[in-house]
Amino acid sequence: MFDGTGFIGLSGNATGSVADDGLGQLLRRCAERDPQALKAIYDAMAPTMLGVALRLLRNRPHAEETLQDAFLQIWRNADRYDQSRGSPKAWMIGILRYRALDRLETERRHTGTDELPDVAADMPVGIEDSRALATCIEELPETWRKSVMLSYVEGYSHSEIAERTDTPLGTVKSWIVRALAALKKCMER
Amino acid sequence: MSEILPQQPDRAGLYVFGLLRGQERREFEADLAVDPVLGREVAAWQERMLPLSLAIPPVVPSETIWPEIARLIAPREAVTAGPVRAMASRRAGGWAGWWDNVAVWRGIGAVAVAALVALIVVRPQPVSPPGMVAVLSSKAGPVFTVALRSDGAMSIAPVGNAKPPPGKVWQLWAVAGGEKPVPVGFVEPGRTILPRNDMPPDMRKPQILMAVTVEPPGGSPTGQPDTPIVFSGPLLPINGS
Repeated sequence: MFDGTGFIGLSGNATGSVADDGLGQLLRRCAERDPQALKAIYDAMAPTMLGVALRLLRNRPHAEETLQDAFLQIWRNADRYDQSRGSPKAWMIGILRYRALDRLETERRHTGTDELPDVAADMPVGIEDSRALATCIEELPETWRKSVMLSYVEGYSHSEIAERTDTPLGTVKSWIVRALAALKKCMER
Repeated sequence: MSEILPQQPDRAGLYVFGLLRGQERREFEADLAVDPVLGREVAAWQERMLPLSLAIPPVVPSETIWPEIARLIAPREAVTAGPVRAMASRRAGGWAGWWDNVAVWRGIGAVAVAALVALIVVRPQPVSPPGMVAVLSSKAGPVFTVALRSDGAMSIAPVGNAKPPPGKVWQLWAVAGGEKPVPVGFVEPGRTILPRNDMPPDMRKPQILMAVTVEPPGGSPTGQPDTPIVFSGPLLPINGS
């Protein structure tokens, strides 16, 4: 079910850390309490962020509430954004992801309505921004790659991945630890 | 594959992948708040994985979402048009100072739990039962009780006759472990009722710390607490909710 075909559709755009699309400047204006700047960020980023939230939560109302929480947090914390710590996009998507994960921890998603049982396999993921990550993910052994996708994209926990792949929990944890190390190393070269 | 010995887990990576859950996540976030090296590792992982997030098909939000955000930021905007202290204070240790001092929280928390047990017994009958309560205590003892309903509405009642310093207000914050404090409103010397939307949904859970600081009228101009906590206490569930 995981054959790496999800990693097509690459393009040669610069990575987020180089080109921030003016988002850094908009965050500075948010820090100065300019609501128009937040609106501009919203227009640029909200669809991407909702896509991420929806993929993690599989519940549109929850995903939209999470999006809203994330934007309130971006507004509150704009003065803490530090360019030396990465791109505005990575920072904002990080905020969204942690809010979504909060929700995942309390909502027990997989016992609720789950109309997308296997999106990791069904929905191709085309990486726009960086060939490097796509290449590095593709180089991983299939089980590791699958664990990476199920956790990062779909929001599955270690035990959910173990259950889903019918694999002992310790083995899954080991896959992930090694996948992280391999990815990190691969991205550095 | 099993011939390879498992490596030391990359906690920053696991965190970014959403694989630290529950207590593990809270402990990591507590470390993250005070450890700039971990902060850089997390940022590096977020950057590494960004292309994968950007590759997920975008979804256009409902039209009601932005107006609601605009509404929620507007009142605060009206009262925080003062000098931009945020820029000046940003590098001054950030919020990784006293605000993250776990020992402070633990001390305050223990006092609050003890006080809570005493206070639940004598609570007046509420109209509809709260989902969680907190006792906001200073070093001298309980100052306010907070009843948080499941819809986020809050009723805050004084224990004694405390008042904020002249020309100042009490601002109420909700603090999740490892996160920046979230302003949720103002506490009056008498009873305060906060409407249901003021407490963010993700903060309506046990062990979120409710904390009060003394701020200028209109609240902290930085949107973050600039003064030490005067009293605080964790949210605790009641009736098993």
